[in-house]
Amino acid sequence: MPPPIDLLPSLMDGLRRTLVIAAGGSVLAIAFALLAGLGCLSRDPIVRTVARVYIEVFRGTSALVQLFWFYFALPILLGLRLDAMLVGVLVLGLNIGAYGAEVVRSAIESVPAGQVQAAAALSMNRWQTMRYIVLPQAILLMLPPFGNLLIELLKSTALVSMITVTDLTRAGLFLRDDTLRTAEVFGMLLLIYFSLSLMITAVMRGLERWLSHGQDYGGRQ
Amino acid sequence: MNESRPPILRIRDLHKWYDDLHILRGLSCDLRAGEKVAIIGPSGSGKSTLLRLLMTLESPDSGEIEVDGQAMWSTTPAGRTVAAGEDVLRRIRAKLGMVFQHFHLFPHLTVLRNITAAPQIVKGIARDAAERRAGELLEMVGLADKANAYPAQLSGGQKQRVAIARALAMDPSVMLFDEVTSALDPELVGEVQDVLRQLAHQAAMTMLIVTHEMQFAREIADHVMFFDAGTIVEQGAPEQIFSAPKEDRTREFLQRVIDR
Repeated sequence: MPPPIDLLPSLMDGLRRTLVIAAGGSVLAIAFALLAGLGCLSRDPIVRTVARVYIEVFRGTSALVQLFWFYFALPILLGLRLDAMLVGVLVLGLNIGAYGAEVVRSAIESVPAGQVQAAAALSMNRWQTMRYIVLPQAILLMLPPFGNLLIELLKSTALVSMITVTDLTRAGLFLRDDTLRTAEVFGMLLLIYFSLSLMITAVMRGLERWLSHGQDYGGRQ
Repeated sequence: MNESRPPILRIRDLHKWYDDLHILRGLSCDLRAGEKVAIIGPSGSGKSTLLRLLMTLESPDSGEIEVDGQAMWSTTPAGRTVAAGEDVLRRIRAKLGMVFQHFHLFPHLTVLRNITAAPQIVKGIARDAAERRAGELLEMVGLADKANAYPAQLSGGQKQRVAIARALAMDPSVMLFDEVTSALDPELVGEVQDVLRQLAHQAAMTMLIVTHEMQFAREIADHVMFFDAGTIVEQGAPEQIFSAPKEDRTREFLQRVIDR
């Protein structure tokens, strides 16, 4: 069987949508993760509670149901109709961001207390300590688990096919109906998702290497 | 020394509990500007706790602390112990520098950036001025060639000398040293003590040195305080404390540590 390269052009539109949702969702997820992760460590009990509730709700319910809720229920309840692509970006960002918040929180908490004390002894305030001392060290600890989450997010983009978006997966379903080349179409889908996740892994590895100078012996001079 | 000036550190009836442990029991003492004070005493006697309270890394349960005439912790007429406002605390803390037993260098920054970070971030000093000053300080602690190294590439003694330079870069008038040689291999203790000796020559610098090295305390300090069970049991000139201690507890402690 020759490689089904001829199928690719028909999948391109779907791939483009998948990439847009994955990229937009990733940016949102990282932003929500940082906000909620830092929120958990806030001195303000209201901020802490808001962050906790967000994390528990979006971690504790199914991403698919969240998509349905934002796409089908919100228009009925609030008269708010959002574009399906936008819902995809928003829900995946919120969902993965909730997991990411726990990654951010635990990474920040695992920076040794002595680092914070040393910063305090140098008169840095809480914000300066976080920005210049704690976060740069914590980010390194966040990278590997964040790589996992972004791959998870990429794969979850297939769920948006359930709210009318013709993403890569839905484009594949259509293409199978048209061509009846089931094994080849789904084989292509597997291959494309796999290549994309390999790219995420490569980027995260690169980031880790780039940021880890100085943390250990033989750092960048 | 001008005796009429207010003390640079004034501590009154300081109490601190860790759960059930009464670690500081009504500690009072004064330090004059430029004084070099060694604090000795058994572990758990509250020596390090005092430094941590001065640095506001922890809060006292009651008592008063004044730095250079400014109240850091004070007692209200109703008898409650309250901290000064955040701004005042930061201003007071800027007069104090601290060096820790375990260095706590920032591992993600080069030696140079470890030293220039706080002056640039906190004081807003320009980068080239901060780097010039850092260069002088590294020269002083004998590590001018290590400016671009990362902490993980240094020995313990070198790390501690960088930590001293880092604290000095903020131009404190009081330096607190919390058992700064205790975590070092024996052969590295001398290089850190040399830096402290050098610092002790600066007349204006007030030094509060918690140490287990009795020889060193005797040599560097012009005043020694013996802590036990959360209070100062005895204090005086090093000669008197080490050669003719008045209190039984001081004598017992010194016998124990010097016979070792």
